[in-house]
Amino acid sequence: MDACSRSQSQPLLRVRNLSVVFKQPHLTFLALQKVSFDLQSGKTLALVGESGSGKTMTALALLGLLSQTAEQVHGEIWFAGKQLVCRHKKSFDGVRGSQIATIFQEPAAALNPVFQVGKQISDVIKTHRKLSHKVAKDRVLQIFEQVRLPDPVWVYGSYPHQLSGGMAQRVMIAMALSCEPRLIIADEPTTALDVTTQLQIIKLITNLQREHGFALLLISHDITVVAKLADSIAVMRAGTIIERGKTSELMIRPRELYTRKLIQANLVMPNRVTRIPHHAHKPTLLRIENLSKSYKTRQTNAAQTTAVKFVSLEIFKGECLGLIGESGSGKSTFGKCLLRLLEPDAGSAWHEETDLLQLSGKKFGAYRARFQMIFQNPLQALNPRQRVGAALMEPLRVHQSLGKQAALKRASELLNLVRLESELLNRLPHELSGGQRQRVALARALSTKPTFLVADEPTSSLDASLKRKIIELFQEMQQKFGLTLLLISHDLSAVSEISDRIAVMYAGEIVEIAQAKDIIRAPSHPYSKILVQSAMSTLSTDTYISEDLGYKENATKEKSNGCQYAFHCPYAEVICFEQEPVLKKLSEDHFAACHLVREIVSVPTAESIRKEVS
Amino acid sequence: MARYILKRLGISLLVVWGVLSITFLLMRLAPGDPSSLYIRPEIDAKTVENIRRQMGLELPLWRQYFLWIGEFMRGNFGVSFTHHRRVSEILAEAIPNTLKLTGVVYFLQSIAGIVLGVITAVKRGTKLDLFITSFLLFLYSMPGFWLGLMAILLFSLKLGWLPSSQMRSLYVSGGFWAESLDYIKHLILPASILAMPFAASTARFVRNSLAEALEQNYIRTAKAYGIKSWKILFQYALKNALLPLVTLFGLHLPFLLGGAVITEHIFAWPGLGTITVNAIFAHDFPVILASTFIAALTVVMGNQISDFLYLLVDPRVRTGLSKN
Repeated sequence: MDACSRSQSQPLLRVRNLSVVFKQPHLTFLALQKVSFDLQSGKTLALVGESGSGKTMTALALLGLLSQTAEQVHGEIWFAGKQLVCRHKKSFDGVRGSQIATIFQEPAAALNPVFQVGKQISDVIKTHRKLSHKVAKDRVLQIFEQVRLPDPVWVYGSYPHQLSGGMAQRVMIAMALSCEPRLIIADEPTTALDVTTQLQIIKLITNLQREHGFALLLISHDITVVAKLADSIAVMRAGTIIERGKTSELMIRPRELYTRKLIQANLVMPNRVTRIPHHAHKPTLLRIENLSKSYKTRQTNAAQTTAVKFVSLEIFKGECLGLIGESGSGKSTFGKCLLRLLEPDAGSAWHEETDLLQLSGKKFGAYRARFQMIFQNPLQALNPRQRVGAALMEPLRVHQSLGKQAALKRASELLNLVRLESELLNRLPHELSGGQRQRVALARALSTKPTFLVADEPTSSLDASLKRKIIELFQEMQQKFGLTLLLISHDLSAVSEISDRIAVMYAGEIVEIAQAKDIIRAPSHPYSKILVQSAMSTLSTDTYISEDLGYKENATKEKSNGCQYAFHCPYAEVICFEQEPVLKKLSEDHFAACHLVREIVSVPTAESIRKEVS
Repeated sequence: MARYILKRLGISLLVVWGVLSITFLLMRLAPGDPSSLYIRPEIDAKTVENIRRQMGLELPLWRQYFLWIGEFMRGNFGVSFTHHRRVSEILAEAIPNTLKLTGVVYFLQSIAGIVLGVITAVKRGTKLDLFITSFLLFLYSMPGFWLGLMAILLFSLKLGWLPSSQMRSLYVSGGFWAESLDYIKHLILPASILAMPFAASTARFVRNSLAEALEQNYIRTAKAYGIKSWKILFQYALKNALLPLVTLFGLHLPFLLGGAVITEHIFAWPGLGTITVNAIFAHDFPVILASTFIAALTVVMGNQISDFLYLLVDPRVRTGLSKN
């Protein structure tokens, strides 16, 4: 009674001077330094900062889950009038899971792979409430409905690997809701998801908060995501909170330079795209015709999943072509097919009178030095037992038959080229930071002086400010060496800045392709519109959520005979379901595959385009 | 799926056939001849010739091979040169004894291995972990015959607690319970000596696999949701850690059979191992081939079964199968 009345006058969560010190043989590391904040019931506080700034550490401290190696923990944590002591595990009993629930970053890894997800949630309920198995199961099914999971009974009996990323995150949210907590900690809840799914999850969390009235502690590196949800924001850097304030004030008038940088790093301004479109009469590097690739699914040998469907496009010499689309849209498959890392089923890729896809493996080997690829996760793409120097020297010795000394010299030049110190030659990949690794991967790709570089999600494993630096490096390298770049990403904001043209891929097909600035200013295909809008989310935070982007969630699984996007499309008409749209020419170099955009029949002059568009 | 299983079965049979053919040739390459057992000064050359003909040894090698393989495929393993009984009868007596021994060994090593593995994983980095791990390494590296002899010296000769050989005592009275007790006493030494290296390897495996599982994000989730710590350890983490053990058991099989041959010989356990060793000393070709056949078949099939079981226990693979 006493605790209850006190908690009404006091904030739900009160953190005072929280400090955490780690001691290792060689260094003492101050992970958190006098972190203090309050969170009122039903409100949302966001902790924002780069990776390593102590956001997750704060969350773990609140949950009493700091690792055993934490040497000292100082400060006080008060939750609903009760003090939680990190060293004293018992003080968390009856709080963890029932009063404070957590949504973790990668939902697929946060769920146990060998138990049905329903069981994992009902285990939580049964731990905190004395309920029979039957009642607990009914409760889980009921929450599954609330988080809008299709077919709750099926989801209950499924294992994490059977769920998509978005569904797994909904399950995780359901777990968080299961005991009706007063506080939910969400640690990067949307980071691992693609853009359209991110939107749905954000909407869901907002709606649930309105219904259930829990307080939300939101942790993210992406200040724009946070701005849509939080009442107030605390910016963290190197273990301390450097700035805090109401969201509206902080986003518009940030005091700290660092905060300003964070805001800028995550925003894409349409007017940033200032590069002059200089491709118009550029010679073609690759002309791709009807490239198709399908995978046999494991379950049924007959049914195939088509990843890439008759894609035709041209890549001009020296341009940067951005290829965007959600995960599973076939963009990576397309890139890998071009470099023959996958064998396409059909189609051709013409490079100077040669069809690269028809060459024998041996003959294509001659092109490998000139056509290079950079992969999404540099830690997995680099051999963990191979030192950086060896990794860089290998292609030099294979393709350019350099001697050991010459290769070593060149390797160190390459490192300097991507702004790394030569000392890193002796490091192993795990001893590098994420940004350094991606630089090494880039240096390795550049070592053979390629003309064409495919970069598959080169920045998606990095945080915002690193992203920017890597993108700038790409841009610089492209200009320096006249590289042709195919930049594959699910994130429009990552590619829009340096791309000359952008192609949007959906369900294995190119649905729109145009100059980057045209896509950003005036996307024609409904799907491109959604991608652009979600990337361009502006400072005015409230409008974002109330504004319906028209993406229909949980669209039926059946396939449309016509446009693949029809079931999700807010504008779909009868024709969309019956007839497959083809790429139509909208202007000189703007094409879109949608029945509902107006086609320009005659080849227009620049003047007529201007009229047409306006 | 059915095609996949059939294909693997076909390959297995091919392997067994290869092993048998090589054994057949190796036996002929080794010096000595089964008939030499019968050669004594008082036997004349003609009788020796007769014996050789009876055994089919005067035929050219390729004819012997095809005769043998033809009979073998019909399930006729022939007659032992030394025991003068059908090989199938001899095997029928020996195989159950070996099965009992190895079965008990599997049981013991699983229990000991998992228990020690869990303890060392939970206490990893502590002195207890170091002590157990070093001790396990000692067991793993000691040759079984040496450990066996030492155990006989200590427990049978010096202390007189346990019998040193055979499967049961000659005269036991007192009905079923007394007989069972006598049997268990005979089993303790060979079974525990044989189980030791396997327990050590299982324990090390469980330790690493459990330690890895405990570091996973889903364990952090379980902790964050207040799941009881014993439940996290024994249910959430252990199930993940024990799945790969199924495969390890298949991999252990050949070493288990190899170890059984030596252990059975030392403790005069009347199983497949003892029979094989005696047959090799006596050039008893039919027995050697038949027991080689049993061993090869067990190893190959055991591995197939453990691979298949793994498909069944891991939900990530299982759903792929059930949709078929």
